[in-house]
Amino acid sequence: MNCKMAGKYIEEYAEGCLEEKTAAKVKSHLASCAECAAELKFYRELIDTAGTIGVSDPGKEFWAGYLPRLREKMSVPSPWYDFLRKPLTASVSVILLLLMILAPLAAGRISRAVRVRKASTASLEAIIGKMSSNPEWFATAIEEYQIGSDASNMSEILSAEEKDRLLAEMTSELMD
Amino acid sequence: MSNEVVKGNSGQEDAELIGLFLQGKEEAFNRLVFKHKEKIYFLALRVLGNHHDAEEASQEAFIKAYKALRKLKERKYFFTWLYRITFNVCMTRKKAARFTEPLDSAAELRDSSAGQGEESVEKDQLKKAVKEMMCALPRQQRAVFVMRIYDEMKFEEIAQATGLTTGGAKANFFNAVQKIKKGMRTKYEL
Repeated sequence: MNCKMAGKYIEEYAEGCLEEKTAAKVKSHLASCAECAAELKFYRELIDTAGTIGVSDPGKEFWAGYLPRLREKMSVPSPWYDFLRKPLTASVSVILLLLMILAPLAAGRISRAVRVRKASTASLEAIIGKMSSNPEWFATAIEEYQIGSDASNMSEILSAEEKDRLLAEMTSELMD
Repeated sequence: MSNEVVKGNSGQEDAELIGLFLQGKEEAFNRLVFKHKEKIYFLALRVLGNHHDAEEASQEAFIKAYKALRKLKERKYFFTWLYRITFNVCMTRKKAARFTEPLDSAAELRDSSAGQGEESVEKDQLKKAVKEMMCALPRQQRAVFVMRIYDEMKFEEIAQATGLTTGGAKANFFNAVQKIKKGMRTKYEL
């Protein structure tokens, strides 16, 4: 094992995390390499030093008041939105919120489609009424929309597609 | 400390106290707080770096435990569970507050052997450097480092306490060590 390889393993070796075989190779290298042995020493010194870094104790007064302060906090009721902090309830809330926003939109689209359908039916009735009371208007319309002037029966001469187009255009004209 | 840290000094005693608490004896929970408050508080202090946050986080952990105590199946592992809650609280606290701990916050970290006055300048410098580099570590790496060095936990126990894999715990620890070493060499030329 060379120094580069040993350098990668030194900390793991010191922490006892290496497999026996690798640990033996590192150990053998360390025995013959002063530089890597110094690196191991530095690591151990670092860990020992870190271990000596203590924290200050907040003192008897602090500890005496710890439980009363905790109990005081526990007695304060959770805010109403506290449930949102839990992942499950938060997810359900988001889904419900989305449903509340999207459902009326979807309902609006459906009712609009129904209204358009009803309006189309009403327009068709209006067109038929106008056709029977005013054949000249119908003849003009036929000419204008290039359907053919020999038509005697609208439903016979018009394909479904043409009927729709004519209906749509006439409807818009009537609406204007 | 190792196993005791994760399993608690006496898991059986904890289990009995939880049993009493669930029978309606509120005092039993107080005893659990008395028993574990210091370890929980000092974990939070070492991870968060100041007394105010440490108290807030440790108490939040106890409150969460109090509310969820009925759901705890393995009562004898109460301390492991509480320790994990504390770790999670520390992680989320910092995230929520976008808390990037400045080095100044390390002011409350004290040398446990301070006042002896026998240490060499070199040792003092080494200690100062380690302290500073520890404070600059990312929170998760610092927590893992703290558990390994101060609570003397095995990597398997750290994994259990943090929800990381054992390999993840090792990676966090060795990355922390590398950062500390690198910082010490570049900043302090040690």
